[in-house]
Amino acid sequence: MIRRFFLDPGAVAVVCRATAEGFLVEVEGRQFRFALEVQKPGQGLVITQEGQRLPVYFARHSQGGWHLFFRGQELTVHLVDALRRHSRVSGAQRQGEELRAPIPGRVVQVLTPPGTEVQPGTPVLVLEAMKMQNLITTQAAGVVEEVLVQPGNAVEQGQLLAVVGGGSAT
Amino acid sequence: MRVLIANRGEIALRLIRACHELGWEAVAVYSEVDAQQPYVLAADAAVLLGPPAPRASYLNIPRLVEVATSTGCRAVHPGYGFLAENAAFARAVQEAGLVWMGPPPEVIELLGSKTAARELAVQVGVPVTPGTPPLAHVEQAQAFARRVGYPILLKAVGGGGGKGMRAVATDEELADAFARAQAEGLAFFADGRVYAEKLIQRPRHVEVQILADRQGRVVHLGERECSIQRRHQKLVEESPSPAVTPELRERLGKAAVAVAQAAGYVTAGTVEFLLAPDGSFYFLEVNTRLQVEHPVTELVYGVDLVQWMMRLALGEPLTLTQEALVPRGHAVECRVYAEDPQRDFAPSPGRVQVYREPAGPGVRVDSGVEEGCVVPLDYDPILAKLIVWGEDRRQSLARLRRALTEYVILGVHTTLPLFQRLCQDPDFLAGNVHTGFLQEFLAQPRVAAEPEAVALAAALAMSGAAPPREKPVPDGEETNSWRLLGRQRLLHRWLP
Repeated sequence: MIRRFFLDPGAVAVVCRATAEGFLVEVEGRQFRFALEVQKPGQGLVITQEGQRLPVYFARHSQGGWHLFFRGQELTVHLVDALRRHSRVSGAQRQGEELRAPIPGRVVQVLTPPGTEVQPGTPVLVLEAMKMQNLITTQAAGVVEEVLVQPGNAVEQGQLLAVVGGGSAT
Repeated sequence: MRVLIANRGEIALRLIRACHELGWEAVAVYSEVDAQQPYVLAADAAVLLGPPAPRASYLNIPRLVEVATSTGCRAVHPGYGFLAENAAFARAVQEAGLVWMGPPPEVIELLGSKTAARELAVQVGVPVTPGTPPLAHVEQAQAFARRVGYPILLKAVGGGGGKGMRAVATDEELADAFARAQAEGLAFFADGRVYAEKLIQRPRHVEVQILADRQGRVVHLGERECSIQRRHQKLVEESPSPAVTPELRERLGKAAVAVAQAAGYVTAGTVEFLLAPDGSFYFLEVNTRLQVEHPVTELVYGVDLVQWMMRLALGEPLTLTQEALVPRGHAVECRVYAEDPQRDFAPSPGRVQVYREPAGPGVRVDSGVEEGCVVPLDYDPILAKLIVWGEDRRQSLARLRRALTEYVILGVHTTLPLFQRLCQDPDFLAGNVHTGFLQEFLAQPRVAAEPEAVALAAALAMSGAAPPREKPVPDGEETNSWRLLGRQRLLHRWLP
C-alpha cells in the first residue's frame, strides 16, 4: 500500500509505503526505513533499521497537523493528502481579500463597517484571546464588502471574518 | 482552619498544597469550563462560581465572599492575577470577618498607583527613572521628551503587565501613542491618566522578594532576573541574577526593604527595578502579591514563600533574620504557556493529548494540567512552570536542558521548544540578557521540520495510530477543539 502526502508549507512530496517489515518513507530524496509499535494512544516505539528502539509520543494537534515528540524534541508536521491538495487550491481562488481569524478568539470590536475604504494594513477588527487583543488588518486596498461577525462572537482559527472587495480605493 | 483559594490552574494547586502542609483544608472555586481541572480535584471542597467569563467567575467579588463564608473558610488567598491586587476584594474579605492573605488594602491602593509608589521611593532615597506626574496634554509629554531625550515610555497610571504602556522614539509617534495609552488605561484599569518616563536602553528587569510582618519587620530574599520577556510578560526567571554581585544584592535588598517599610507592607511582595548596563538601578514598582516566579527564590533560599505569606497574614511574627538568609546555588524557571512561539505567541487552546513531566535531581514542576485536560480560551494561557536548581548556574542550566528533553506536551502548542532553543544560545548561557533579548533572539531563522520526523508523521498518518479526533475532519484541514468548547458553553447556558 502506498500513500502520498505533501508537506505544508513547502509542498515537499512525501511517499509512504507499508512493507512487510514496517514503513519505507521517501522525503526530499532521502529514504527512511523503520517499524512502528504503538503501545497505547499517543505513545509508541520506533524500531530503526539498525534495531534501535526509540520512544515516540504523538497526537493530532488542536490546530491541525501531527504533533510529535521524538529524540527529545517536539515537532509539528502538517501533511496534506495528495488527493485533496488540488481541490483545496482551486477552491481558494476567489475575488477580493478574505480576512480570516489567525487564532481562535472572541471579537471585541468591529472597526470598519461595510462600505469603509481601506488601505493595506488598515485594522478591521479586534480579536481577543487569552487576555491578548489582536488587530486584524487588511493586506490590500479596497472596500469592505461584508463583515460576517459581531462583537462578542467566538470565532475559530481560519473562520472568515470579513471580505474586502478588490476595487482600488483612490 | 479552612482557606478559600480564589484562583485557578497551577497557582491554585500550589496554594492548596501549602494549606495541606500547614494542616489546613483548602476550598477551590471554578467556572463551568474548569470543573475537571486538577486543582479542583485536589481541594477538600470545590464550589462552582458560574459561567466561564472572568467577570462572572474569578472576578466576581460578592460571589467569592459568599462562597468563602458559606463553606466555613477563615481566610482567602488570591494567588496572582485576577483579584490578587484588588483592594476592593481585600476589603470585602475583611469586612466579611475573614483574613485576607495579602498586604492590607490601603497598601495595595498606595502601591497600585505608579506615581504614588514612585513618590514613596523618592522619599526613602531609592533612585527612580526620570519621569513626570500624570499628564493632562500630549504637549506636556513632548516637553518632557525634549528635556530628557527620546526614547520615552508612556504608561497608564493604573497599568501593569505591559498593558497601557507605549515606547515612543520620535515626536511624530507621540500623539497617537498618548491616545492609545489613555484608551488602554481606561479599558483595562478604568483610569485614563498617563505619565511619562525616560526609557533606559537595554536594561535588565531585576526584582527583589520581600517578606514582612505586622510588627514592621522586613527581610529581603535576594533578586530574580526576569529580563526574558515577550510583550512585557516574563517567560524565564532566574535567581541569583548573573549581573548582580553580593555588594549590589545588598544595595538592592536595602532599597526594597526601605520601600516596603515606608509603605507599611505586610506578607510577601516584590519590588521591581530596572538595572542599567552600567550597574545603576531604578525603582519600577511594587507587586503587592505572590509572583508567578516565586519558586526560584524558594529553591535558592530554602524558604517556602507561600506558607510564610499565609502565616504572616494570620499575624505570626517573622522569625527569619536577614543574616540567616543566604542564597545557595542557582535556580531557573521556564513558564510553559499554551502559545505558539513560532507565530508571535498566538494562543493555542485545545486538549492536552499527551502530557509527561520531567523529574529527577533538582527538578520541580508546578503544573495545573494533566493528560486529557482542556486548556480554555478564557484565561491566562499558563499551563505549568518548570523550575530547576543546581549548585551553580552551569549545573542548573544543564539540568534545564536535560529536563526539557523529558517534558512532553502534545495537542497544543507550548513555549517548551523555545526554551530548548534558548538553552543553545551563547548569550543566554553566558547570562548576557536584557529586556529586549527575546525579540532579538526570535528574529533568528526558525528550524525546519527534520525529514526523519516528517517520515514518522507520514507513517503515523498511514497506520491510523492516532487517538481519535474530537471531530472528524479531512486530512490537512485546519481545526481545533474550539468548536467543541463552543458547544459545551452553549449547553451550559441551557442547564439549570
